[in-house]
Formats: sequence, C-alpha cells, structure tokens
Amino acid sequence: MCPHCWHRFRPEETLWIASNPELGHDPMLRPEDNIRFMPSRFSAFGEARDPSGEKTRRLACPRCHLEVPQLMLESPMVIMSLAGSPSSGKSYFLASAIWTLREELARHFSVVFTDTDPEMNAAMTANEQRLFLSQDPAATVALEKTELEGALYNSVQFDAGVATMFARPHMFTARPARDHVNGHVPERLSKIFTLYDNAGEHFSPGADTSRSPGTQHLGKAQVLMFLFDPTQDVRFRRRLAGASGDPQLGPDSRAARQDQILVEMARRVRMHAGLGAQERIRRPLFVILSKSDVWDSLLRDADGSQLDVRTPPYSRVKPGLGRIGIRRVDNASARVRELLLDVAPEIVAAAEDAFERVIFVPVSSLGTSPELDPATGLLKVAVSRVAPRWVTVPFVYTIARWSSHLIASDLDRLDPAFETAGSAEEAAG
Amino acid sequence: MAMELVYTSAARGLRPGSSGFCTVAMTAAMPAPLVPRLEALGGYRPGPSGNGPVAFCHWRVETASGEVHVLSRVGPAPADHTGRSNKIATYLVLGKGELPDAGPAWLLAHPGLLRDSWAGEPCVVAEPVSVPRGEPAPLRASVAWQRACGDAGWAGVVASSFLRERQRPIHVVIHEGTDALALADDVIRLLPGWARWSLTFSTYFLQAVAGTPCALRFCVEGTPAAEAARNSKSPLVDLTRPVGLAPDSRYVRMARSGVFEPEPSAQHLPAAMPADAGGSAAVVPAAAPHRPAREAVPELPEDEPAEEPGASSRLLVIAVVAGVVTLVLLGALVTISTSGTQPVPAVADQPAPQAEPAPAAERTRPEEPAPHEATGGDAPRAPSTRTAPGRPGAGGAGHSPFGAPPASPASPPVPPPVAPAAAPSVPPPAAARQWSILLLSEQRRPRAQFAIRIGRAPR
Repeated sequence: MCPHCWHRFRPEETLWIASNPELGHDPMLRPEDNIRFMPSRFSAFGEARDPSGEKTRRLACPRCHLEVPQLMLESPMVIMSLAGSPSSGKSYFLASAIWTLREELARHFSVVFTDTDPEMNAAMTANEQRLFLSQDPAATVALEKTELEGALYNSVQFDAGVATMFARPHMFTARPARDHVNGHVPERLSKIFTLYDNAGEHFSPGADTSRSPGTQHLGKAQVLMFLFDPTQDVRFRRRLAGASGDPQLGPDSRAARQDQILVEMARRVRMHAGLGAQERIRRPLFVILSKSDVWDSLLRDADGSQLDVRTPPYSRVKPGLGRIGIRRVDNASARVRELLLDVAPEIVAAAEDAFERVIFVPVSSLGTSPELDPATGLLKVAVSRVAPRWVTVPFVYTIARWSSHLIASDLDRLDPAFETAGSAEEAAG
Repeated sequence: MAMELVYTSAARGLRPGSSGFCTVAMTAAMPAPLVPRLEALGGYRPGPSGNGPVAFCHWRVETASGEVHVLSRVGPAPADHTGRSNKIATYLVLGKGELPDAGPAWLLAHPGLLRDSWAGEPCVVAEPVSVPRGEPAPLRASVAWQRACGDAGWAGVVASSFLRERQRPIHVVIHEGTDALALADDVIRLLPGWARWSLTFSTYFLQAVAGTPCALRFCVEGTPAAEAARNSKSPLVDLTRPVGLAPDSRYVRMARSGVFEPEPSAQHLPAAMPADAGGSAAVVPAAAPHRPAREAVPELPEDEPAEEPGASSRLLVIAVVAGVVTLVLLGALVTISTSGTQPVPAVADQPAPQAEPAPAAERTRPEEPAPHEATGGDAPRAPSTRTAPGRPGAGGAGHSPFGAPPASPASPPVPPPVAPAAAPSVPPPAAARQWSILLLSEQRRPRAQFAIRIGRAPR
C-alpha cells in the first residue's frame, strides 16, 4: 500500500524513478521530480534502467507517483494514526515518542528502531533534535504549529493545475537487533510503522476534502490513537485549580470540545474503511491522555495509593529479550477510565461506543510544564527539563499484543483486537 | 477588480466552525474554488534565525476561467490564540487589466498593498483592492545585485536564463536578510514588456507545489531548500559564495549599465510580443549552443552567442552543408525505393533482426526458462527470457534482459522498449518487473531459518 495515497498495488505495478533529470519531470509532480516510468530493462543487480540507460533503484506509487521506500515491498506496514484537537500536543507526542522509542526499544528489548527513509522523516527528526539534542542546555524551545500546507505535505497534480495535498508519512522500521533472541532472522520480523503528523484543524468537521485528504489514513490504519488533552477541558481545570501552576490551566487558555473530534474521527474511519454508520470499529483505539505531569495526582490505584505512571512498564527477561507489563498497563487503563468517567464521561462513552477495544494510556511528552515567553507570547519548554513519561507505551503495547516474536509480555495470549495488524506478520512468519 | 484573501491562525475563521489556520477575510467576489488553491500556497517556516523572512511571491494559477496572476505575502505573525507560532498569508488576485507594466515585483514593493497583520473578527471584504497602475519601469542598473554579490551583471544572467527556458526553475541562494524582492525587481526590469508577468518567483522559496510553477526561487542559506537547490540540476546562482564577474553578454551589459542595447540579430521582431508567442527566440537565436546539464555559476554559458563576430557566417555554412547532405540522402533513398520490385513485407514475415549481444552487466538468465515455459500452461504467453542470437522473435527484445514475446503473424510489430524522449508508453512484461522486485527483496534474505516464539507455552 502506498503510504502517501493509500493505493494498494502489486509489486509489478510499481513505477521506477528515472535517474536522468534530462528526461524531464513528471507531469503530476513538481518540476524537480524526475519522470516515473515502467522499466523494461534491468541490470544484473535488479536495478531498472531508465529510458536514457541510467540505473535506478528508486520506486514510486503507480497512482500518485510519489516515492515509496523499497523496504515497503519487503516488510509489513503498520499505519498508526493519531488524531486530536488543535494544540493538544500531537507534534510533541510524536517527536517525544519516536525519540524515546529509539532509546527504549534498544535499551529494554534489543529491538532497533530506525528511519525507513531519513529524507521522508526530516520534519520529525528536526522536532526530535529541537527537543532532545539541543546544544544549549539552558535553551527553551517550542515546536512550530503544524500547518495544513507546506513542507509537511506532498502535492500531486491529478488534474491539470490543481494540487492535491497528501500528508507526508513518517516511516520507521522496527527489527530485532543482533543480540535479540531472534536476531538471526531480522528480515522476517521487520515491521514498518507509518505515522502522520496532522494539524488539529484537519480533524475539524468539513476539513477532509478530496483536495486535502490529509486524514484518510484513518481508514487504513491498523491502530488508532486519540490524544485527549485534559488541560483543554474546563472540568479538569477545576479539579486541578491550585494544584498546578501550568500556564495551560489559566482562565485565558483555550478550551475545546474534544469529544466532537473523537466522534468525527470515528465517522471518518467508518467512511474511509467502508463500514456501516452504526458499525463498531474492530481496530484498537488508544485514548492517550497527554500532559500527565499536570494531572497525575488525580490518578489513584485500586487501593487508594498514587498510581505510578512515571517509571516505564518494561523489564529485561534475559539478555536479548525484554518484557512489557501488559497487566500494569491494563490496570493503568482501568484507573484512567474511572477518572474519565468521573470527570469527562462523554469521552469514554464516545470511544467505547465506536470502538471494540479501547485502551486508556496516560502520557507526558515533556514531563514538565511549558513557560510563557513574554517576548514572543509563545509557550516554550526548557530542554534541560524534558523527561517524557510512558510515551512509548502505545507502540510497545501494540508490538507485544500482535506479535510474539519481538517483545515478551506477562500475558500468554495475543489480543484479538490487534489481530488485523498482526495477521500479516504472523502469516509471513 | 483585484480580490484579496487573508489566511492565518485565529480562534474563528470565515467558514463556520473553522479555527486555527483558516481564511479570516476575503473579498466577496472571490470564486469559491480558488480559495483552497490559494491557501495551499501559504506554506511557511521561519528561517534559520527563527524570525522571518517574509516571502513575497508571484504565482500564475490556472482556473476554470483561465489563468490568474496572484501576488502573495507570507510572513511570521504574533503567537496565536493557543500560544503557538503563527503566520499570516495575504493573497491578491489580479484581474486582466490590473497588471502594471512595471511587473509584479514593483507592485509587491508597494507598502500597504498586502496586509501584514490581522486582528478582530473574520469578515467578508466588500470593496475590491485598488491596484496602483504606475508607469513602465525604466531600465536601470541592477543595484541590488551589485550590493548582493559585487556584480550587477548577474541579474542579466538570470534574466537571459529565464528567457531561454521559461519552464526551468532558476535557484538563487541568498543570505537571510538579503532584499530578495529588490533582486527580483532588478531581473524583471531587464525583461521585455511581454515577459515581465510571465516570471513567477518567490523571495523565500521553501517547497514547490505541483501545478503552480515558480520560476525564480530565492533560497535562504541554511534551509533545506538551499541544500536542495545546490543538489538540483537547475541553473543556480549562489550569492553566499564569491561568484566573480558574470560572463559578458548583452543582458549582463544592460544590467551593469542600465542602458538598453538593441538586439542586432533580431531587429525585425516586434517590440511587443505576446507571452505565449515563443518569445525566447527574440533573445536566444535558434543556433544557440545546447546548455550543459549542470549550470554551475561560473559555467553559465554566454546567452547571446549569435553576437560573436563571424557567428552568422558559420551558421550559414553549416546550414548549406546540412542541406546538401540531406539532398544526397533523399536521392539515395528514392533510388533504393524505386529500384526494387518486391513490396515491403509485413513485419511478422520478416526474419527477426540479429539480437544484440547483451552487455556483460545485463541479466539475461539464459539458463532459466520463462515461467510460462516451465508450467506449459495455456495462459497468455509471458515474455521469453531468452535472448539467444538468431532465434526468431527473440532477437528483437535485445534491449530487454527479459525479452519480449515472439512475434506471431497476427501480432503487431514489437515496439522498441525504450522511448528516447518520454516515459515508455508500452508497459514492460509484468513478470519481468515482478521478478526484478523480488530479486531486490531476496538478495539479502537468508533461508530456512525459524524465529523463536517468545513467552510461556500455552497450557
């Protein structure tokens, strides 16, 4: 499946990208994009020869003509779609989760998590660098507000003179490291995770158009994530009054009806997946409650003690094998669900009405509150205080629940809700 | 009359229910299909300094009713209602009678023409924007280029490069803070009147949008666009590095002196030429040498080779020789065609041409039969993988390592597998493509290995 336009095609339908720019540019793309072609000549190493005879290995989708990585033809692709209201922290969550996945999958699980195509992930990499690799430890940073056009999108000209803007996918490959117990068959266990960083405005009703199909990946996604920002909910703000000095809890801060975004998300999933309007979606949904550093004091365990949502639920079983505590995550999910039922029950109702399997995960992308920069009016965070919490849990949980080859868990059986995503991998295995 | 549209991040937009990045104001008469087209042109990221620069652009946008000229200004704006970074994009859609002779850069330089801020509620602007008419901008020395790189002549290089090949983008890499709008204005002043509104440009180029050309792209040093410009095969003028003196030409001299020089070899051409009349011929004679693939700054060719002494006489000699050779060849062809009595046989009846020996690096798979040969099924024949010399029908596929189906009496002649100037219109054998992709996949794949299932055994 093309990660840009989600067109399904067979390997032999793949177009190739000419190496020689003198052959002209592709009429569907920008002037700097070389022409796409169906090859009839190949080198001994499987490289196609373009019409001028130059070798090429670059592939493109036969429908949208955008470049697709070769690895996409070799490994199963898992689309994990993220939705949320504007300024709920989607870009911060993705940047934080990706960076932490690179670290924690290697540290706890002997799993390598790398860019499938660094050029494709350039925007995400830049955000990671800004948050986690600042050379100035005293710096305060803010990520740019996600646009609905520009560098985060690829434009394709299906009709002459009219550009269709596709959200640029961010693709990552997870595969066992050499010291993993299955490190001898990395090819068979590799998976590609595809993510999209959409603007919150994309999820507003009426924003999904044929010229801006930015959220149609929702219909193709195997796993869905909805980012709920408690600081945008006035009821959470009342509960937290005086308990936190976070500027996002101030009276002038923006409040939003996030249940409407969730309902719209479910509607689009049904529409693009061809489901009935009343049909319950069988794919798993993670309801991710962001900014847990602000509100985690509201979370209580069954015995009334403070719930630990800071230390990651991972452990080493033995060298080359790590384990996620699924029971611990499920327990946290139950506690968060209780809290939501108490404070914002319409979110639980909307999620469980639309999806068969819902997991509630508390995360904090930064682990600290931002501060208002009086000079610019922007909310910025000190890079020295950035310490994400549980941002990798939805991803590691997903891997562990559909596959039994990469990450161990404290549950014997797999989760049927993840069966759709796991079937490809299991069949290949 | 000119119509405007303002796009920024606001708590509420013009369209009911919209917020965040959205249109907050536009002229009442703005055609609805044009709105998303304009909004798509407003991509913006701050430069390396984190603040600015402003992107001034001229676009030509195709609509159902024809092409319209759009001027835009996209720049940073104060933090939005959510405390996050913001931008403001203002667009001006010009009518046919609102294109001043001085060109788009001259118009964009007018302060107040395009809004640079927005506050208040979204609204529909009832009054169209009044566009200054102005007088034709006189030619002058390209002082902005003189300041930017020490030689005003580079404006002439850019102008002549655009006139020579108007579809090909030209990149100019600049330092942040350089007045790119003045640079663009200098180039446009050098252009003839009919070409001034055909030059699309962006003073802060970030990314192209398919279907909306941008011919002159000013890329700020330190941005991905500047890096991409340096790696592209398009003409490039890098003003962040010493560029030296521009190669002498008529346009370069005009840019330096500010004095118009008539073109001696094209005096018969009309003074005003429509934009679609192939006007580049007025600047570059037909005998201009082919441009090299990569036009690094020092190697930009002379744009007026016909002005060289003796060039016209050399052309005349070449033309006469070519004519004589053509006549001789035609005569030979006529002689051959009339001397024979046999009609031209059908292609299928002809013996196949001798196969070209495949290059050593090409895969021919001579020892393996084609899939259809192995199975012997009745399915439509897959392409043969053999290229044995002299084999009927297979030799014509000498271009392809996977061959082509043997020619049958009923089949049309096998077209050449590679079209020289465009993408091949004949799909190649599907099995061949699939085989190659599988080859790519299988190259590093070990076989007969089993993964360990992690976890306790089921009870």
